[in-house]
Order: sequence, then structure tokens, then C-alpha cells
Amino acid sequence: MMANSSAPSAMSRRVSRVHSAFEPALFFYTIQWRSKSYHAGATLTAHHGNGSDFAGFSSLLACPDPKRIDIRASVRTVPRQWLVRTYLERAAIRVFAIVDLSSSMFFDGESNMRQQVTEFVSSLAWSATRQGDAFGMCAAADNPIPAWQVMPTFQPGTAHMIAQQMTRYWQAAGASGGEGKGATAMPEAMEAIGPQRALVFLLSDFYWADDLLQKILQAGQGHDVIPVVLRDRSATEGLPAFGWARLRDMETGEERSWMLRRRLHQQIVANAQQQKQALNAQLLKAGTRAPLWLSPGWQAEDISRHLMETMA
Amino acid sequence: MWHEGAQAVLMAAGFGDDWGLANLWPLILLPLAVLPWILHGQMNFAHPALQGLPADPLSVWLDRTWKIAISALIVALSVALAGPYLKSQYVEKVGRGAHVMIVLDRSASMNEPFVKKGDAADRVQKMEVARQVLKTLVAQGHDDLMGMVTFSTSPILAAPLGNDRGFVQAALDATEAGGMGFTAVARGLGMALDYFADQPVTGARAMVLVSDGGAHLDGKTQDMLRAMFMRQQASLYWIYLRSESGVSLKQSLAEGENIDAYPEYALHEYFQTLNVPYRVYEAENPEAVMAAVRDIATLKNKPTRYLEPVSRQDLSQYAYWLAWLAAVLLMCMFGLELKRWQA
Repeated sequence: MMANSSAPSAMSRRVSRVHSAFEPALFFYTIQWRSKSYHAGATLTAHHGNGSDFAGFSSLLACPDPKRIDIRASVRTVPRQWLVRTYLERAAIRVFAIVDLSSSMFFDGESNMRQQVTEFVSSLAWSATRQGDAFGMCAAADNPIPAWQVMPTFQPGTAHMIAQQMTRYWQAAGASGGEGKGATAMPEAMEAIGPQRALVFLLSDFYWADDLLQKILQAGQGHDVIPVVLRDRSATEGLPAFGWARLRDMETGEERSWMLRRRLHQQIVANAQQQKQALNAQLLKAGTRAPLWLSPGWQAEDISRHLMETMA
Repeated sequence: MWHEGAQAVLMAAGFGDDWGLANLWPLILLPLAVLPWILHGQMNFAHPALQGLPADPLSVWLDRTWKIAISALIVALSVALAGPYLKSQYVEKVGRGAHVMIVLDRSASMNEPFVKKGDAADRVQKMEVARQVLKTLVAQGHDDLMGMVTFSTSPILAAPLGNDRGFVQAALDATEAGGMGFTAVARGLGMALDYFADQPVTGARAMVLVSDGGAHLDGKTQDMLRAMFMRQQASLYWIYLRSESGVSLKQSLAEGENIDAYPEYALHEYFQTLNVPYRVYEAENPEAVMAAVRDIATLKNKPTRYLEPVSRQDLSQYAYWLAWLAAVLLMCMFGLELKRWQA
């Protein structure tokens, strides 16, 4: 947390460091639902074709592929007919990153949250491309942000392209990040995915009002949503031991004074804990996967494990 | 239109009559006091989400105190610069004393002692005794208004009726010069009564006549004095310093004696017809005089209202005090404030 006056110099130094050495991590995800697309990929679909996942038998006349005639099955039929084994195709899905770019995401605490966003999103793009899925991206604050708009693409260079795109955006936005921006356009960003089911990573700090959260989750109801929670721990923990400070809310600009002392520390920590539990409950109730709480030093393995464990 | 309204408000507050300002221009600075409430220039730290966090009453009040202290500092300083003062005025005071007019006989006979014989200690002058005793009377009762008239052949105003003790004490000291002439009781009493005339009847009025003898009053003077006593509603206390040879007022005169031969007795008879509270203390020795004075001093009176002049009073010191307090408070809070956010 930086003081108002000394913030710009420290910030610009940090921005220039964002992604000087970018190496996207690779993590894996699995899904339980079936893809409806016809683009070759790794996910099981509901339609028959050239795959390796057995679907059933069908008459040779209906499916004229003599290569797959199953003699044992044909022998058991009465009256006799030739049966052909059919398989399900595997196809690609669309993976989306929906990023909240409200002012609170510009918070600098224990780590640089913008850097975390960049790293995670480009790793996701990298992983999706590697698995043969299409990667798309949308971001919004109070308005949708065109600079972050990426239509679903299979292009191999997507990860590096969007990493550059994001870094440029961070640098242009500056330290303040356009102080006082909310996340009211997030439902629109969610709707921009389209009706076809997609795997959606919802990146935010989730410091949202309840009705906004409900609206966003409602917009994403048709999709497989994985909330990725980026909350900086230093906002509620490890506060200065004693002293009086004024705080300014980055989104609303509301000011509040804090007479920091042991009792207030306890209250704040207890409150943060309670908020975390409430958020988890709300997200699960809305039908998302269990939220992924991203800590600053995250490892690709941890994310893979979480995604596989919470496969819904 | 509102100009007149403002004037009316100022008039009602007593501006110009009771208080005033040395300079008017510092009042221009008064609107600055709203600055802390509308400006948000203080150093603050960014936080991603304050809404969900618990409200802390102590912190809220600390912030409010800070703003109030700044406002108070600005207001107090501009008021102090404006230099408010209370104009010289009369403060109405409620005294529990009486209006006492001392009428002191300074005729030649007052120079004589009570007793002709005896050693020097006994042979103190009547005047000396009266003076000492009256001085103790004056020194008592701080709320009394006092004045003094001395008389011999003609009355002399020694001290006008007022709250100034020093004046009366000095007038008593001045009687050391020794007496002379006759006893013109009527004119002395008349002059003393005149001093009640310009005072409102707000308290008990007492005439303390100290004399060692009487004088014959003709009918016209008697009527005039009676009328004055009635008008001024003054009670009369006569300390009669009786010398050895003097007549006692306690005994009635023997049958057939001529009342004109005893002017004291005639005076006593006359005073009793005044229709005002009257008491006589017949004192043959200093102790008796003392007792009489003590009696008068313990008179129970109804509360006395009088106006006391107060000189112009500077009020800016209070404003400076307030400003100082606000500044100290601000300094304490500044010390408490976090300059850098570090755990």
C-alpha cells in the first residue's frame, strides 16, 4: 500500500518490470460436459465420428464404414445384420478469460496484482492453445474495454500476443488505473461469450456488491465458470500495529479513518475471513466451480490440481 | 432587505451597545472554517474495498475531531484577530446589604470624653470612640452601600452613597481634625436623606445618626423632616453618646419638667412620631457603642440591587486560548497519524 504522494514513481518502476521475462506456465483442465463444436480438439463431443471413445453399435447401412464392422456383435444379432462400431469425436472447446478491470484491481500490496493477472491470463492462453482449444478474452470496468477483446482463436502465438497487449494496457493506464472505476459492465462482458457453452475463468478480486455479483453469475449461468479470486492479503492482514490513518476506497473514493490498534486488527481479520466464506458460499450456490484463490506465488501444478479436483 | 435583518440581529445581540469588535476585516476569514469539511487533501492510503469492512466508531470520531479542531482553530484565530471586547458597562449586582447613611455629629461636645474623671485610658474622646466603631461598621458588610454626612453648624457631605469603602474610611479619618460649632441635627439628616432621593428603593435604607446631644427643631422643620423620612422610607438608628451629665432617654421625664430643657429627649419624642422604624441606642461607654453598631451591622435586609460600573474588557484572550487548545489537539493527532504504511 502506497501513500498518495509517493505512489507514481514507485509504480512506474514496477510497471516497466511487468513481463520483462515472460514464461507462461502450463496447466491442465478437464471438463465433464461435452463440446458441441466440430473443430478437432481434446474434449469429448456428443456426435459420432472418428474418435477413440466407443459410443455404440449401428447398422452397416446406417453407417457405411466396413473398416469398423464388429463380427462378434454381428453374429449375436437376430435377424442377422452387420453391425458397425461407432465412436464419439473429440472436439475443441472455447476457453474464456473474463477479467475485471475496476480500480481495485490496480491495488499494490504484497504483490503486483496486475502482474498476477497478466501471468495467469497468458498462462491460461498458453494452456488452452496447447490443448487445442480456442482462447478468447473479455475485460470490463464500468465499460467494456476493447483493448482486451480477443475473439476465440486457435492461433499458436496467442499467449505472447495477449501478454504484450496487457502490458501495454497497464502502462497506458498508469498507476492510478483511472481511479474510481467500478465493474458495472462485467455482466455485458460475460454475455459477450455467446450462447455456446464455454469454460470461463472469471478473474476478479470479487469486491463487488451482492446484486452485481448475482447479475454477473446469472449472465454466466450457461457456462462452466471458474472464479479466480485475486485478493491481496495485505489489504486486511499485516496492517501497521498502531497509528491513525486515512484510507481511500479505490473504486468509490470514499474516505475512512482507521485508528489501528489490536481490537480493530482482530475485527478486520475476522471480517475478511467471514467475507471469504460468504463469497465461497455465494459462488457455489450460483453453480460455479469452487473458486480458485490465487496467491502471489502460484504454481501451475496447484492450479491443475484444483481444476481437476473441482471438475464439475 | 436582509441587510436590515442582519442589523436587527446585531442589535438584538447587543452589538455596539454591549460589545464591539476592534477590527472587522478578520471576519472575512471565517468561511475558511468549512474547508476541512469540503476538501479532501489529507494524505490517505489506497485500499481496494472499504465497504465490507467493519465500521469503527473511535476512528470515525477521531476524524470528526480532526475536522472540528481545524474549524475551531480557524474560527478562534479570526475571532481573536477581530478583537472582540465588552464595552464599559454597568453590571447589575444584587447585594444583600442596606443603604446606610451615617450622619455624624461633629460638634464641639464630641471632643469630650464620656467621663471627666478617671485615667487616660478611660478618657477617650467620644469622637474617637465613634470613629473607631464606625470604621468597624464600614469594614463589615461588604454589600452595603454607604455614605456619610457630618454636621456641626451646617452639614458637610463627607462621602456620597456608594459602594466605595475607601471613600467612607477616608472621610472617617478626616474627622480626626476635631469638632466645632453646634449640633444642627435637622440639616444633617436632611442632607443625608437627600442622597436617598436619586436611588431606587431597592433595599433597606438606614440612617445612622451618631450624636451626643439633640437640638430643638421647630414645627416647620419637624414636618419637613417627617415628610422626607416618609418619602424615602428610611429607618433611623440613633446612637446616642450619652455623657455623664447627659439625660437618659430610657427614663421618662419627671412630672412637670420642661421638655424644652432636654433637647435630646424632645428629639427622641419627635423621632418616635416619624412613622418609620426607629431605634435608639443609648451608649454611655465605648463598649455600649460597639454593641449598638454590631446590632446595626447584623440587620437583615431584603436584597439590594445596584449597578456597578465595569471597565472595557478584552475578550480576544479567550479566543486565543481556544486556538491554542485546538492547535495542541491537532499536533497530538498529527503525531498519531501514520506517515508511511508499513507493518
